[in-house]
Amino acid sequence: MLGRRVWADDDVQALAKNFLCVGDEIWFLDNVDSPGSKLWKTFVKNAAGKIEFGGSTKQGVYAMTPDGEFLAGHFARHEKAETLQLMRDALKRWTEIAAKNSYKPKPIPSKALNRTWGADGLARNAGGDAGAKAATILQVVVRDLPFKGERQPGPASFKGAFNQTWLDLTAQETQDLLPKGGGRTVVPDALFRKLAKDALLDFVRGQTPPWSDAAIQKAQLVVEPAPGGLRYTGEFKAQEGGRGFDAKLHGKAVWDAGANRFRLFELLAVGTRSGSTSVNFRFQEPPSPLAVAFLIEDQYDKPAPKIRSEAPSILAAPAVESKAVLAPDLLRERDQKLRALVEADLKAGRKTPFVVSVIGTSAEIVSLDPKGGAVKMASGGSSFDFLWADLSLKDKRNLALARVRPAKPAEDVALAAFYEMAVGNPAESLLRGLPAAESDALRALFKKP
Amino acid sequence: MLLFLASLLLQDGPPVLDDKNLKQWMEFVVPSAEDAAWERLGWRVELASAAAEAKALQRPVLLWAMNGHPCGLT
Repeated sequence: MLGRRVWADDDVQALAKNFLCVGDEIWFLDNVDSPGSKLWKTFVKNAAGKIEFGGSTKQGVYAMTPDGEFLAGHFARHEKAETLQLMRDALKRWTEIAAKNSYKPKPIPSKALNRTWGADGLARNAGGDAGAKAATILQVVVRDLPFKGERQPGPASFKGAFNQTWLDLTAQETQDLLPKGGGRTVVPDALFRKLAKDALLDFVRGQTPPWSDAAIQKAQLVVEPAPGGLRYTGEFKAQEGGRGFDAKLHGKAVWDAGANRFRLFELLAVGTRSGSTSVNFRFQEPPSPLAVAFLIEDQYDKPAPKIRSEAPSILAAPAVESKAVLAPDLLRERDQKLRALVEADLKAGRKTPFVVSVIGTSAEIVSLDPKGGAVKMASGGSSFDFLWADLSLKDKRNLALARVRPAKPAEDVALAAFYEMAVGNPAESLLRGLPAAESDALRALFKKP
Repeated sequence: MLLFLASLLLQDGPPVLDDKNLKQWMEFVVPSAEDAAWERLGWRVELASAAAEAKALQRPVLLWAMNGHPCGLT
């Protein structure tokens, strides 16, 4: 979008810092009653004869007093020179008003652009449907891909262009992005169509209408367990009114079962766009490659994404990390013990399903390399490679608990109790099944200093 | 990464994605710090509340209004 390039300019920013800068959706301001629309209409009235608006839209850049008095403005697209002039004109008028009213401007607090809109979830005017019930908010970025030897193809004014939007998912929709029964699962058609209709679009250069249901010829997204998390693959094809998009999808995700949310989500659609709409500035350009990425905003910068956790837990008992500090040697010793027991289980033909955090569902170890630590796991009819070292403390707790044999041998129970306490959970019901000396010794390990 | 950047110039259609190249293509698509420079102005996202804040700060308002929220889809 051109505007972003202008607002990124140092000269523009130097002047713009005198204003309280706000972005808003003009259709809502113009057509939906709200405090914002009331102020906007006051401004439009005050700007009569000073701005020539377009017939169907009033998008543009406008400067006003907090009460909606006209300071300056221009309709539609803006370049650097005219934006600078607009701000100079506006500040000249504002200086007169401020002097007349003895205003003493205060510093404008810096504020990060929080596009998830806080406690109310994703705002409706930014694509939100679920409001405060949103459990996951996905950022969607669209960009042209390299084409005919150009890394940034297209006319000069659109080189490097990208655009973005947001989508919110309910707790149920979030769960529907996970494999069912731990195996290869087709994501519900209604959910993928929701993502596809609003986001698998060519809006690199400007807004464009969503696909109608009838336009979609092919839409399938599959999720399955994979090394390190989940893998998504899929395809999409839509054609409508002379425009089309034919794409393949590939992605990965890491599900945090304890927190009931995605720790990482990367889904990318790449394909060929064709045609144009009246508002997406593609005009008569021939078909070209396009990418649409879905991710959680800031997931690369922060340990946990800014999303709420309202989805029901798929772990039997959510585990929390231990407050006690365990010696590394002690953890290593129990780790070796657990591995040895699992190896013995496998030799005896016994496999134990347990919840693996990164895939968010149950899997079982089907083979374990006693020297290298490579683990082959199976879940819901699929198998995948894993490393023993990649099993988290919570995974080992889940495994140790799940593999306690029916006769409750002391070594099984003691190990399960150890891991239960290691993740910070009470283990009294397990400890009661052990000889007193053994249970006391275990309790002593976790006694807080 | 250099090989990947060089391969971009030879790319003449949508790439075939796999587990190995997904990260690099995601990095290509997701906005860089330079792409996000416009955000430094501390945009507020709703006119009425921004005007109320401006009034308290005795500042003028600069509105960027688009079809599709300019801080999101446009």
